Amino acid sequence: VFALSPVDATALPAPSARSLQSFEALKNMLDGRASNSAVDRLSYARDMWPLALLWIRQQKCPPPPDVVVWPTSEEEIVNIIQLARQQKLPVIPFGAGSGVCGGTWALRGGISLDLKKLDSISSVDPVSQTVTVGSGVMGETLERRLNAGGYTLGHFPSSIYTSTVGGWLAARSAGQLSSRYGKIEDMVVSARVVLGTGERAQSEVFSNNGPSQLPLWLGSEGTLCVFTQVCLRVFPKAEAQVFRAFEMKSVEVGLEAIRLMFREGLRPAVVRLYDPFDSALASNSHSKPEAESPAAMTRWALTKLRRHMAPHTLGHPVILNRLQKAFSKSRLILMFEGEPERSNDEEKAARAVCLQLGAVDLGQAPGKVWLKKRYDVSYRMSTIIDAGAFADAMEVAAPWSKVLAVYSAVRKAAAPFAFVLCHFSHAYVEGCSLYFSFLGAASNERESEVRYHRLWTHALSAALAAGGNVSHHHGVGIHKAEAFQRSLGAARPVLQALKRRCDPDGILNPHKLGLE
Amino acid sequence: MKALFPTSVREWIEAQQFVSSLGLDERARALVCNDRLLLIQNLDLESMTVDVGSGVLLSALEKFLNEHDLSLGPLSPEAFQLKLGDFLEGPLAGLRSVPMGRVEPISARLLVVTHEGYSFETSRAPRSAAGPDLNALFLASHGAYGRIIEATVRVFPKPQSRDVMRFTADDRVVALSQLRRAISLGAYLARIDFVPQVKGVDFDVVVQGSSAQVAREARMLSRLLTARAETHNTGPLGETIGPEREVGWAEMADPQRWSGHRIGLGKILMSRANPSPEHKR
Repeated sequence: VFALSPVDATALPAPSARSLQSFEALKNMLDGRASNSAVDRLSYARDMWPLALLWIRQQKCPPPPDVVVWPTSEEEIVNIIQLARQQKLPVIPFGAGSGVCGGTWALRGGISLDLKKLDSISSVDPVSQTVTVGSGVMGETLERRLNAGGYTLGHFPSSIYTSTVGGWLAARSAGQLSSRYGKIEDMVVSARVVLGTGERAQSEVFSNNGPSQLPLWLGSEGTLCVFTQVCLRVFPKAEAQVFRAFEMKSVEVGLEAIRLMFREGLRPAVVRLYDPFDSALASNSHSKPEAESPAAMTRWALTKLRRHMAPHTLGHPVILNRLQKAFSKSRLILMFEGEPERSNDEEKAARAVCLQLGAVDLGQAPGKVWLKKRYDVSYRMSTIIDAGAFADAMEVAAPWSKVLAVYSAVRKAAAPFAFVLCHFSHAYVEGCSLYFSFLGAASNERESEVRYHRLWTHALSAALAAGGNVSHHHGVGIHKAEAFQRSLGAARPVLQALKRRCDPDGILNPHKLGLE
Repeated sequence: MKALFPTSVREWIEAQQFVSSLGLDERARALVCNDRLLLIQNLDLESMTVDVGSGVLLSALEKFLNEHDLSLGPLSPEAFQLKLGDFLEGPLAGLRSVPMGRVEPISARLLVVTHEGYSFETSRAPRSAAGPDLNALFLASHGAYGRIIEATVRVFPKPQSRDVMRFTADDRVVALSQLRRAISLGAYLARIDFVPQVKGVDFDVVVQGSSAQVAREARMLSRLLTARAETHNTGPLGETIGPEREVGWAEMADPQRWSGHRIGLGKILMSRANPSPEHKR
């Protein structure tokens, strides 16, 4: 950890001697597209892991890379990796830096490999309905290009404006419409990579030819390979979107409704069930209620509170979390899209499921509002950090029979350290993802960081013990590396063997996923 | 040939150790078989999963599931003749089609024993972003890195209803293009049978599920495809003739009669098929 001013990058540690020896070679190899300037190294030192944001607030910086390079082709990446192998320099693949787990932190310095210049986008093959893109293409650019031709990828992560296709693959990303279109791993037809050996490889499309390497590369977070090119499946752009929201009697009833919908073969593009407290905050009750029922009054008070949430409020999460007991109703937002008649058909069937479970129909408005503001929440984090508090999100997945146990266990484990909200999304026939939002604060920066770490240790352990997994779509990085390794159990040697095969010198993104 | 039939992970590891201790010649003639890994347990009706030993025949598993109003879903005829382990480890890779033109393994969690003699299991979570999917080392691997002892199998509700609809097109290219569009818009097809005609092509499409689900699929297909005059429940389909092989849609422009299962947007499991009684007439 290095002390520095947010505007003064000169306090960074000097680049390593080995990187300095290689710097000229890199520059020559890349026609000058290499830099070891303090500003560039500082820019690539962090991703969006909230811990980094806490550090920056304290004028500390995560360890920076020694060099940043901008290759434009697969061949240049091969050359960089070969040089890195000779010089024993770490190579950290870098997309757009929107990860939230420290996946691009340069823990041992080395070369930050910015892939954004691999930005080719082929035209859509109308027969196979696929598009082939460079791994550095930005998500929003790709979607816009596809839309112009009447297609969509169907992948809308919150980070779409600040993430690349290669980053999606490296961290097994999920978009907001995943319940219909799938996670990124469902969209990849094939991929080209450069391994840590410098070898190039391409995944097989058909299973006739033996095991597929693709699922081993996906989610490897730059520890096994560097993605260079990807062939993705695309869909016709939706002709219609049909919204419907419901107030469910409880979280339990809301989850049952989702489970029944998927069991019945319905595929809402959006399915989001907010827990009671999150529902209350989302209900936008700005004016004081006329009927002064305790729940209505508390909801109104909370709405006011939300606007004034400050470190001193979040510093007492136990009280805030206890307030949640005043609420029971959960809001469910559904959106169906695609062919108009089919969307209407499915919405009608979903509505029947919800009404049968005693839901109150809230109409289309909440869904439309959600769609309009769906990317906003990610950008609110900085205001919370600026206010002296911390915010983070933990997303795990569990089978339906364990979802409620995970929900209760994590809330209980996290309650002493942060204000806890949760929503359920990314549903499947056999389970769903639980997305916990944590808001916390402490009397000073040091205590804040201690509290942050204790929160995560307790919350993630509770999720695993109750039957959840380590991550549904944020990945592992260094943040969850220890929990991930623990969750692997006896499979650890298998992953290590895979690492040795793909990256025998251990140069690719060291320490991520807990791999040396 | 010396065959060993372990009934548990522990026995499997011991059997492997025993085989390893044999001389080279004897080892070549020794086999550890999954035939007695027959446990079906932990049926989770909420999560729609069940833990199944790799020696269980999929036809037997389907029968067991049917008794609980569940099903493996639309697998190909060849798959139903296999043991679970062979389906997962063999060329069919344990794959099944799911809505939106996707293809995914029927297994969530795998319990495996590696050749080095240690066992581990993967996660039961429906999806993950926690590192690489280690299941991929064992699916379609023909046992190259280890053997599957047990799998948590994802199941569907037993179909209450089934509809066979007959459509027609001027030529195969048009038919294929229409079908792919329907799938990419959400149509979930259990089987397609192509029947060449003197002029153009007929194709039977099978949809199954709850009554409401089948009605939804039928309405959608009627909007997107050109129906023959007699469209519904056209009678039994022709018997498929193996072997099944996974191909791209372009290969389905084959002029012969074929049947398609495991229907994904990118690929399809294809086998030859005899004409249905209806088409024979």
